[in-house]
Amino acid sequence: MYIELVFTGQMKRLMPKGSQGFEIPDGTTLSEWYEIFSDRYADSLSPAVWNKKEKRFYRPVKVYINGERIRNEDNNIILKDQDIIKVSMILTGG
Amino acid sequence: MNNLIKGYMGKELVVDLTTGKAEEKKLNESVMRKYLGGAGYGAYVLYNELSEYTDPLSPENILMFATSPLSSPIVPGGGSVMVCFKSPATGIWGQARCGGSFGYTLKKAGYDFLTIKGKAAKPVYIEIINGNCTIKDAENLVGLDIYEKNNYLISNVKEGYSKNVAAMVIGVSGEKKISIAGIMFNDRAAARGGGGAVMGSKNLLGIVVNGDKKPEYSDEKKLMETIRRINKKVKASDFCEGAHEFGTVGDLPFNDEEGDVPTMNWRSNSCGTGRKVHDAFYDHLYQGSATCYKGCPIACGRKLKVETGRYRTPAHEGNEYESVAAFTAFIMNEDIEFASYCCYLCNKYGADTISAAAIIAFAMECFEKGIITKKDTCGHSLEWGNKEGTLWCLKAILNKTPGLGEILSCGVKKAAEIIGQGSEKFAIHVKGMEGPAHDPRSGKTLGLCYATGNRGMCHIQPFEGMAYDRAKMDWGMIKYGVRDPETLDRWDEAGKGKDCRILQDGLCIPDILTTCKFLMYADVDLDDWADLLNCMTGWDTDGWELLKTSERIYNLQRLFNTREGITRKDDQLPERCLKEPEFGKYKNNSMCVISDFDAMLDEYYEARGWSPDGVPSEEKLKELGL
Repeated sequence: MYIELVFTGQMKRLMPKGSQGFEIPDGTTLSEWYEIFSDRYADSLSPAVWNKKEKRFYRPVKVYINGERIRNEDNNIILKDQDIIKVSMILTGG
Repeated sequence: MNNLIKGYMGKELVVDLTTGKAEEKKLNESVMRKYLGGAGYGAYVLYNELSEYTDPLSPENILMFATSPLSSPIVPGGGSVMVCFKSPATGIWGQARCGGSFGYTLKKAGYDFLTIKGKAAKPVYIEIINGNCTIKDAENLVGLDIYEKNNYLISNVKEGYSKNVAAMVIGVSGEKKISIAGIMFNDRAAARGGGGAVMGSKNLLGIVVNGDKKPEYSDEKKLMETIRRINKKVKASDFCEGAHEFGTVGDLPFNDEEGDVPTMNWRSNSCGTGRKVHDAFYDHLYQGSATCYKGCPIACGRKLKVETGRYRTPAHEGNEYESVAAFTAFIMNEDIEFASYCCYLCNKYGADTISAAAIIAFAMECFEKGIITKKDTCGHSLEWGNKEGTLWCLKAILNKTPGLGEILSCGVKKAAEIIGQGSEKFAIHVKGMEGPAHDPRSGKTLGLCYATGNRGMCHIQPFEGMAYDRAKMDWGMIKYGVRDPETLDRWDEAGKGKDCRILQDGLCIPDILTTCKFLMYADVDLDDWADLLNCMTGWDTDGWELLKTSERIYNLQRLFNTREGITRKDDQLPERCLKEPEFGKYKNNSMCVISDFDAMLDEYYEARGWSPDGVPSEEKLKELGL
């Protein structure tokens, strides 16, 4: 199945440009997709946003699937074909 | 209800503490249309009524608490008050915003503006209830901290008016007139520029307001619809969710990685401990989010508490990004509990956390270089990160302790002038205001903001250059001529003078309308502010007119500064901001260097219509109706 990854806010500047497509096996969970994501981008991910050891985004990076906010405890959610994963971080104020 | 100007209470209260008299002045609609309120009307009054070289701590200085029609708890971001004064820290234009209910409660008491002149013969506080102003004895409040003063004012307010009462007070630092003293609304502060010292110089320890008056609006139904529309927009914004959940402290790890955290008195732009400090903040101290006024849709405030140990504090607010970064990276401290304790102390004494930490960092460098020794510090070590030394130094500054404390309490510029021995080179300030916790070596627009800001080296007034360069925020300003930040590199220099000019004007609007600037991060744009203003006043303004108004006010504040002798020579950055960091992630990174700051300044002046020396031209002033 195919899912799409979109970066918004500051993440756009830090991550590969534009939307990224991923072909992944049926039944892939979000945490499994993080492994795939990590393999693809390896060391190019900023250590300020990506926890290399635990293979997850640090707060305050926010992850959405089809517009719905996903929190760390929801990492076992099973992805569906055509899901859009949005990764966002908009702060820089104060 | 017969106010002459809809949306306004229509009155300014002028209190002369020398004579003890309070006088009401009716507002003029054409003046209000031209200057609106907040830092706009403040600039109009201070420019016209103060003469050049007025001593900021003399009775002749003016201290104004300013609101606008948008100062209302129902308006998104409407819980703010703007305090305007001639700054004792810089000797030039001073303004400081404070979140909380004071602004709109002042309006409930009957006034859009409260202007304080003169000096009381002995310590007093002012109570304003429903148009009745009383100057009350405050000798019993001398030496009390801000929480104690606040409690006294609130619990002694006129009978029947204790509900929703609002007070602003100064702490001991304000009483002692130190240049970094702020004016406090609980843990919120109108901190920068020394407004607390101006209040202290007038022997005014606090102001308490309440009432049940309200302005008449032109179209209340449309106003409520507009508020609902804007609130919906704000709540749907990524910024709102992020700021609510993570507060401004959430930026710390990322800013560190991006080279946006001035470290060790600006020797570097990254401390490398941002993640550690941030995680400790949330894992051990964080108690929940907080709003500065009831009804804020964002709630970026953080409530925290150090539960146990030497640095324990009661639950308090105020440990935002700036304060936390200042009391960690500036002074090379990694202990968040200690940093929080320092912030709490600053609140208690009523002082600016940014400047306090910046001064200590300056003192630590003096100590390192042998310019200050243990003889000056009562035997305390001011080695980098030394907690006991930091605490001694902080208390000495906040109490203006004779000797080093008194010298440092003047701020780094004046302290370096007194201390000498080359310390001027590492006294990091612009026009006398200490640098905050963002670094122009992470993006060049911020350098221009710091150099040309009317109140000195400030990250938020008028706008956060790093948010444009790095976070790619445009605040809805592209339609007014700002280039799309997505198309620019953060290290670019060319063209940013013009961008900076327009963004400064646009982001000054919240200062003039006394709204929280963060609402513009949450997608509220100039047309939204104009819509609110129109519903309240019946005017037909729009984003373009607001931008022109803001440009007028920015130029008027500059004229205030020009009158005090400010020119191009003062619109400069400290040397360290222009050079490669000495250590950290960006060591030897030439991208951090501003290669031609003069060219950026030329471009900025040209975009402003100012002379090459930074003076507003006659033509520009005429165009702006000044």
